[in-house]
Amino acid sequence: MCGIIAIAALGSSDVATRVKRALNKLEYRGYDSVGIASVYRGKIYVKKGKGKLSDVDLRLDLSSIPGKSIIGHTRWATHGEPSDINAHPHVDCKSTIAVVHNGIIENYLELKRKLRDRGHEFLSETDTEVIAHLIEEGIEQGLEGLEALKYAIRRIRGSYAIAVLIASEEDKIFFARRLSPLVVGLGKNANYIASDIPAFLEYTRRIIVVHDDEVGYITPTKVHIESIDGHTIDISSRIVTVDWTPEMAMKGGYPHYMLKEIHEQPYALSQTVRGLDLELEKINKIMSGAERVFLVAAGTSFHATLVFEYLLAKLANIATIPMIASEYSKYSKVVDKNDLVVAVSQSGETVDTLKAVREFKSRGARVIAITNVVGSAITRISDLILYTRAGPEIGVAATKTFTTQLLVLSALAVNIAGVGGMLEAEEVYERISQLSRVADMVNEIINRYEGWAKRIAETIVNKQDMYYLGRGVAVPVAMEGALKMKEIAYIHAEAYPAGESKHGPIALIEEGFPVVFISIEDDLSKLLLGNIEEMRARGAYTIGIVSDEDKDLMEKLHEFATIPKQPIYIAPILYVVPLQLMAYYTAVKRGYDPDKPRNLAKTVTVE
Amino acid sequence: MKAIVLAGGTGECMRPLTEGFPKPLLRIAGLPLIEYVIRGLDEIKVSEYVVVVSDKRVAEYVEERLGSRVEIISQKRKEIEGALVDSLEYIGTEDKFILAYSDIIAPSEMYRYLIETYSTSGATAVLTVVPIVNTETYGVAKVDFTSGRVIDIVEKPSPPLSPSTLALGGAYILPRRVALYVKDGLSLPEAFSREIEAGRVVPFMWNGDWIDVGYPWDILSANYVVLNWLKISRISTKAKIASTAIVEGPVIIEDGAEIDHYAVVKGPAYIGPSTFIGKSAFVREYSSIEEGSVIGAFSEVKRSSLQPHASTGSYVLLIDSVLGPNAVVEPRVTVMSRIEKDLHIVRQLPLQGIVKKYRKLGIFVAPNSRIKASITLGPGMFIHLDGTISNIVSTT
Repeated sequence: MCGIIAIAALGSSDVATRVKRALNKLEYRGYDSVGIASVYRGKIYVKKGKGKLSDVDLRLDLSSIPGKSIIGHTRWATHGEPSDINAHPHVDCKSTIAVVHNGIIENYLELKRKLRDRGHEFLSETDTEVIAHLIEEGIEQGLEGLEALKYAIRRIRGSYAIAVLIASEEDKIFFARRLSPLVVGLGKNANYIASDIPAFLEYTRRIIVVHDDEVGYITPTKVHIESIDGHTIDISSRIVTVDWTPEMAMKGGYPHYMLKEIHEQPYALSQTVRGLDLELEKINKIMSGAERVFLVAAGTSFHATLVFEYLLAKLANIATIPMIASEYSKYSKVVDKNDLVVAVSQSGETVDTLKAVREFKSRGARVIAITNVVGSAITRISDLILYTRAGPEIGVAATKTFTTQLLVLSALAVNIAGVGGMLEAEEVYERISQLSRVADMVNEIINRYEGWAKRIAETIVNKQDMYYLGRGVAVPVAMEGALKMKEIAYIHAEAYPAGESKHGPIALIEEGFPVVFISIEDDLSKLLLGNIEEMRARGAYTIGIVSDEDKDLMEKLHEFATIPKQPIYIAPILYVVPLQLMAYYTAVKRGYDPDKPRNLAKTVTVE
Repeated sequence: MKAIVLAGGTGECMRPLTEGFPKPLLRIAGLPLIEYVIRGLDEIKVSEYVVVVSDKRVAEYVEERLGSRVEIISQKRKEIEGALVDSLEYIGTEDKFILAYSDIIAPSEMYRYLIETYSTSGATAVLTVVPIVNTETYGVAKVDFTSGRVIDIVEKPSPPLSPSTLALGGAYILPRRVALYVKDGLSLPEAFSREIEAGRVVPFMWNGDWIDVGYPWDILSANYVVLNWLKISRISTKAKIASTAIVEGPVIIEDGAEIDHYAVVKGPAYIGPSTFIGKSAFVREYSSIEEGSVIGAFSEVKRSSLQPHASTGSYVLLIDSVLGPNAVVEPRVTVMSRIEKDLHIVRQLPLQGIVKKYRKLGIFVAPNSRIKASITLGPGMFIHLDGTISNIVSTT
C-alpha cells in the first residue's frame, strides 16, 4: 500500500505546499519514503528520498519545487528496499516522464528484461519504473500522452493507481486505475487526484471515484475520464458532493483498522502466496549441516514460531528450540556456527529480536528472517529473508501479519521437510500449491463466523477472566487467541495446554467462567473431550473452535464454530480467524477502541 | 438523492400486535417505529421521501411529519417487490435511489456511513450488511473480501447451511435498473443477484446496534437497544413525581406523567406523556411505558412495552411482554416467561445471562383486547383481539 496525490492548479497558489499537506494525510498508507515531481517549462523536476515526510522535507525542502502540476507519493516498499533511488516518482531514460504508483506490477521482471533489451536503462529495483519506460516507448512511437499511458497499461498486469507527468504536456496530469483506490477532486482552478478523499478534502468536496480500467487526465480546469477501450465517461453523472467528514474513508469503509485488517486477510494471504520466493537452493544450503534450530520472536510472532516448531517436529522430524526474544541471553553461550536461527518480526525492528539475532550472528549462526517490512533492520543482518506481503498493519493488534507469517512458515516447514528427505519433491509441490487455497478458505470463515463472533462477544462482555485451551498445534493458536483478548478487550485471558488443567488452573473455574477450546488434530480430540467435560462439570461456559467432522466435541460445547478439516500446516491459519473476530467484537462491545489499546505500541523498539 | 421508505404490508409476522394496528406506528421508547428511519435519512439530507403505506394512519403520520418533502403512495401490489414497483414512477429520472425499511432500528450514523461507503467506493449499489447468528429469517450476503464485493445473496438460509452470517440490513443504495428488474418480475434478492452480475455491488459493513422489528419480541430487543442509548436522564418539569417515589436513572419521564407514592422506576426506562404509575408499582429495566398508559398499584413491569393507552390493573406481574395499544390487563394477572430450553424461537432475545442461561418470553397482546382478572399466562403466548390465546411454539 502506498499513497498518491496529484494537483494541477492555476494562478499563484502554492501547489507544492498543498501536495505536502496531502502527503501528510496519506502517510498512514506508507511511510518509508516520500517523493514529489513537477513539470515546469517543459522540464521534469524530482525531489525524493528515504524516510518520513518530515525528515525528507527537512533534507530536500519539498516546497521549493517549481511548477503548478505536481505529483507526490508516500511509499510502503514491496519491490526494492526503501532508499532514495527506490522512492517514487520514477522517471524514464530522458527524464521527460515521472510516475507515482500504488499497487503491484506482477509481470515487471519480464517487462524490465524486454525494455532493457531495447536499450532502456533502469535506476531502481522497483516494479513501478517499468511504467515510465513503457510510456516513453509510447511517446517515441508518436502517441500523445493519454494514448501513451494506455499503451503502457495494456502491457502491465497487476494492480495500480498511477499518476503521471509528461514534460511535453505541462498542464496535464494523467492517471489510471485498476484494483488500487483512486479518486479525483474537482476544485476551483485546481483539480486533484489521490488515493483517498481526506488527502484533498480541505480544498474541495466535489469528487469522482475512478473505476477499474479507467484512464484520464486532469488540468487545472478540466477532468477527462475514459475507459481503457476508449469510451468517454460522462463525468457530470459521477460527481458526488461530500458534505460530511469521511470518518471511515481512510479505514476503507470500516469502523476500525483492526476489522479492516481482519477482512483483508484473504487478500494479504493471496499476495503472500504469490510473493513466496522460497529460493529452495538457498534454504537447502543454509539448512545443510545445521545442528540445531533456534526460533526467536516476541508477542504474536512468537506464537507463529511455536506453530513452526510443531510443524518442523511433525513434518520434518526436527526438534527446534523456540525462545522469547527478550530471553535470548540464556542461550548466548550455547549458540555457535553450526546453528541456524529463524527470527520472526512483523516490523523487522523489534529491539529484542534484533538483539538476539545480532548476538547469535556474532557467534557464527546463520539467520533466516521473516518480516513484513522490506528493508527493515532485520533484513540487513540476515542470510535469508522471507517476506510476508500483508501490507502495512495499523491496528496495534496483529491480525493479517500473523496469518501471513503462519503461511510463510508453513511453506518453509514443508520445504525443509523436502530438503531433509521427509517429503518427496512432488509432495512438497502439492502441499505448497494447497497453500494457495488458504485465502479462499479464510474468506469463507469470515463470512460464516462474523455474526457468530459478535454473538459470542455479547455473552462474554462482562467477564474478567478466560481460559484458552488446546492440544498439539492448537496450543499456540490458543495462545494467540488469548493474547488478542487481553490486548484489546482487556479481559484477563490465559492459554495453556489442556492437559495442564488438573495441575492447577482448574481451581479457578466457577459458574459461567468462559473456556475456549481449540481442537485441530483428530487424534488429540478424544483427550480434549475429557478436558471439556471436566470444565463443564465445574460450571464453565464452553466455547469451541473445532473440526467440522468432530460431532462428539460439538455435543459437549455450549457454543462452537466449525472449521473444515485441514492438515496441520493449514489449519492454524483458519482457526485463529474466529478468535480474532471474537476479540474484536468483545473490545467494541466493552466500549474500547481496538485500534489503540492502552499502554501498547505497534512496534516495540525499546527494551 | 430520493429515498423510498417501505412502510406498507400487513405485518403478518408481528401478529397479534398488528391486529387492527399498523406496524410502523408501534412505539419504541416514545417514538413510532418509522420515526427511526426518518431520522436516519434526515441526517443525510435526502431531497425527497417516497413512503409506501398500506394504512391510512401511517399516511397521516408521515404527511404531518414530512409535509411537502414526501410523496405518499398507497401500496397496491403485494410484498416489498410490489411496493418497489408501485413507487417506481416517483423515482423519476434519477439514476439511483435509497431503499430503506421502516422496521429497522439503528442509530442515524448507519445511514451516514452507508452514503459514505457509496460515495467513496464507486459502486453501482451498496447493501448494508449486519453480522447476525440466526440467519433463518434474513436474506444474507456473501462477500468476497479480496475484491470487497458482494458475490451472492441467499434468502433465509438455515444457519448450518448458510454461506454467510451477514444479514441484509434493510438500507440500500441502488441504481434505478434494480427497480426495473423487479418490475420485470424478479424478486428483490434476484434483482440484487442480477446487479451483482451487471454492476459493482459493495457491502457496507454495519456492526453497531441494529434490530429488524419483524416478530413481536423484536419490540423488546428494540427497546433494549434504544434504552441503552440513554446516557443521561431527562425528566419533564411537567411530570408529577410523588415525594416517596424512587427514580433511578437513566430514565426519560415525559410531560404529564404521574408517578404515585412508593412507586419505583429503575432505568434505563421510558415513561411517556400522560402515563400513570400507581402506588407501590415497580417499573424495572428496559421497560417502555408509552403515552397514556397506566400501571396499576402494586404491579411489577419488567423488560416490557406498554403501547399507547394500554393499562394494567393492580397486582399484575408483567415480564418480557408487549401490550398492544389500548390493551387492558385486569388485576392480579401473572405472566410467567421462562421458556423451555429446546423450544426453537426465531431471532435472538436480549438479556440472556450466561451464568443462568434462561431464555424468556412473556405475552404479546393484541391492540384493544382485554385479559380477564386473576389468571396466569405464558410463557410465550399470543393474546388475540377475539380473546383467543395461542402458543408461540405453534406459530413459529
